[in-house]
Amino acid sequence: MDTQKRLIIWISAILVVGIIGIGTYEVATAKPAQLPVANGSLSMPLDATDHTKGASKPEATVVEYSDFECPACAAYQPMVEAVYAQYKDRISFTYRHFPLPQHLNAPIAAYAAEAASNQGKFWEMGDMLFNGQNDWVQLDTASAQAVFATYAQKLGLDMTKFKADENSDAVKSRVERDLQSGTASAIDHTPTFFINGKMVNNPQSEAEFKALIDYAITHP
Amino acid sequence: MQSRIPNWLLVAIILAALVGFGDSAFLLSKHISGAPIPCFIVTGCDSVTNSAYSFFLGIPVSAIGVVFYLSMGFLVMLYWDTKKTLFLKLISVGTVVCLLASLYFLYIQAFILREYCVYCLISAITSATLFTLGMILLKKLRAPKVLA
Repeated sequence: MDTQKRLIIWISAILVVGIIGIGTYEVATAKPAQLPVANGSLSMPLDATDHTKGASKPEATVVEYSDFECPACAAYQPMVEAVYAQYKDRISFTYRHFPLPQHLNAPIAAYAAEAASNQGKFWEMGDMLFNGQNDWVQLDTASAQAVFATYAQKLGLDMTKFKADENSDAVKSRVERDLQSGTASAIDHTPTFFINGKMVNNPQSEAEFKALIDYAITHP
Repeated sequence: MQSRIPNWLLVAIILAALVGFGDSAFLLSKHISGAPIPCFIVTGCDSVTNSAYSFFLGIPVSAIGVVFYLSMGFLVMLYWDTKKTLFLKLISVGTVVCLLASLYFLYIQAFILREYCVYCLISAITSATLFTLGMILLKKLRAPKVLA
């Protein structure tokens, strides 16, 4: 066999083996697909890495999947605060990220909140992000991040660490984790509330929200 | 001189080796990543592959399988390239070793662990196939040369 033919055959063989090897590896190590559960339940139970505040032994749990760029979420903030203020000794309140795809700055806002969380200021940063929504949602990435940096400075955070964390893989996967759990729960809007692990229709008033929580507490 | 080693035989050996390679590579990848193994037909995939019997001299058996099956294919390629019958003899010997190993692992699954791993069973089938092909090869090697 002439050299060219030999070369072609050998290279083809190596390619075939390589493709089978890599393909097999990818298939073997791929995360199993998770079908969205459209029955309205929380797909991923609360754990230690979740942002949870309130009673350590809650009579009811409340989880909010939210997006810092979402106007509805910002609008819900006062209601959520008022309800939490009243029930904080009896319920736990958990925030999970669900940045909607059409909100271009939502992911980086979530990363900023996570970076602040690493320095113990998650809820404070979240409040600043919602309150200052109009200041950053329309900006490009760099400008929005500059606004987040001013929030971080106001919170007295270590800026070097904040900026490093904002862009870190760990923070990104942390947000991704929440997003995927939301997708697996078939969430299609924000905010979405889960009380005792069951999705509820967004309460239209503070009174309605409180009634839902009262019901959950008395019907565990 | 007519080549007395039919091409279909060598192609069959390569195909069996590729199947064995894919199967072993799959198990090796699962071993490296620690991911659970999707079992079918039988139920003992994880038990078998996590047992002490899945290691030989500290090396995962799946890794040995990958190297072995790759070598079988490689030997066929080398024969095609150089026409040296030494490579065919090595293949024949290899398939015997392979079969003995497979019989050993089948014994472990059936009598010691009493659990089966379907991917190990697939490997046993490719081993048996390779052994059959290896014996045909040996027979062809020993047949008197046909002069053109």
